[in-house]
Amino acid sequence: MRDLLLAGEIYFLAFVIGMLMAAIIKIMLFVIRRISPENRGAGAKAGQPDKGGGAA
Amino acid sequence: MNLMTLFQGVGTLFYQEPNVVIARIALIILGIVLVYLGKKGTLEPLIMIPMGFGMSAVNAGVLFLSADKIGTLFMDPLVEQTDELMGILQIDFLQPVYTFAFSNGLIACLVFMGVGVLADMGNVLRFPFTSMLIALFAELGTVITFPIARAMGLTMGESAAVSIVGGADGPMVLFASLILAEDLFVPITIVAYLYLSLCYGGYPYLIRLMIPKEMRGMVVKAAKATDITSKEKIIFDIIACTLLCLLFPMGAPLFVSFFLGNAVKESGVLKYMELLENVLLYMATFFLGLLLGVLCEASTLLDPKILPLLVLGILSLALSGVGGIIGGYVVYLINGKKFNPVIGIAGVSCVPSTAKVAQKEVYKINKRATILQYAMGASVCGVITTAILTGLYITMVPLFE
Repeated sequence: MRDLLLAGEIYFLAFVIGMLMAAIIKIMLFVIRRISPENRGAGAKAGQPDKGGGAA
Repeated sequence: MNLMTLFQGVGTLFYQEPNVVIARIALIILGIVLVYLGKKGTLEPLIMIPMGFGMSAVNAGVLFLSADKIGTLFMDPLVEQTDELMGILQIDFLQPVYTFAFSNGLIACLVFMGVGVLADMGNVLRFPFTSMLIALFAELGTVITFPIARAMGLTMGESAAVSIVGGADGPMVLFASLILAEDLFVPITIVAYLYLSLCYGGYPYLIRLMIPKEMRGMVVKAAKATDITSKEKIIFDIIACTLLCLLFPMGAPLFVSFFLGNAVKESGVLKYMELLENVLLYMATFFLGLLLGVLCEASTLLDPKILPLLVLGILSLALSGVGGIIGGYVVYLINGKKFNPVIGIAGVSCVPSTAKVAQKEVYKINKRATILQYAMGASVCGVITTAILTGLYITMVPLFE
């Protein structure tokens, strides 16, 4: 019974860490794309205000 | 002159225990069979050819080291005293490789660096939740085998080491068994590599058994191939590596090897890529196969625990395959029945073989269906989830022992 519980505990932790990594990937991609210079340039080109700061 | 002294390989057969003699002859034949099956392509030739040679040669080349000692000039894995080791390092030709690269897990890490270079994180980043979910389901065997092994009388460390066979990553099994089950690391790793070669022949049958024909040919919408940049992949590599090292310092050598290999590939440093992919990966795989073969001395493999290991290894891989397909079905239901459950089998890691098995099975039913993007994502995630489970086992098991 103890072994079964340990196996269950390990699987549960693996699921939590795995899903956490997937969430990190989503957040990371969102942040990178948000702050990348290419995206800021694209925004300015489309006639939107440049969110990236720079000279006022 | 006594002929038995002149031809000592044969002569020693008359001085050893009958069970050892039978095992020696059986292993010589098995080695030859492995080389043949490797050449034929039934088993993985990169591992099986050196392993078969090592196995045959070490069991044939037995000699009288002294009046009362029989051994070989290959290596002595059981030597513990420093002075004795220094002597053996100067005599046994494979002892330096074993001592400085095998017993500390370096060889597993070198293979992992090469695997990192071969892996493409693009599909993991493109479909993170799908890939990770499938890969986690495909670890079913890695988890369920543990209590079964315990019930069969193995220690916690041995049970954990043989369970990791279900993760379908040879280097990971070697690394874990060196830490958790030092006495049984040879048979466990050999079982892993033998079954890894065989399971690709068995998984197509599992797919056909569990997934109806009309579902197997299902077309899955492909994503744009260029939407993930190298910069994003490298950032993921360093974040994932740091996070996993923080959580499981015991598994840090494996994590850093895998993610460093991948970062080298994405950074585009051609010289390093060539070094890892063309030199270190093949050199490490060659010596891994040869040393595993040489470690198959008759006396090592006469352990009564070998039979349960053979059963548990295949059980673990089969359960992981079943788990992967269940994962495929779960994603199929989550995605509103617009996902091909065959992709699930790719979660059983071992980049890129299982992904190829999945694509091949789909292609047989529908020539227009391409699932490789999703399958590769699940397959690479399989490496990560096996690394997570290995980290959990080697951290948690000693706490309960």
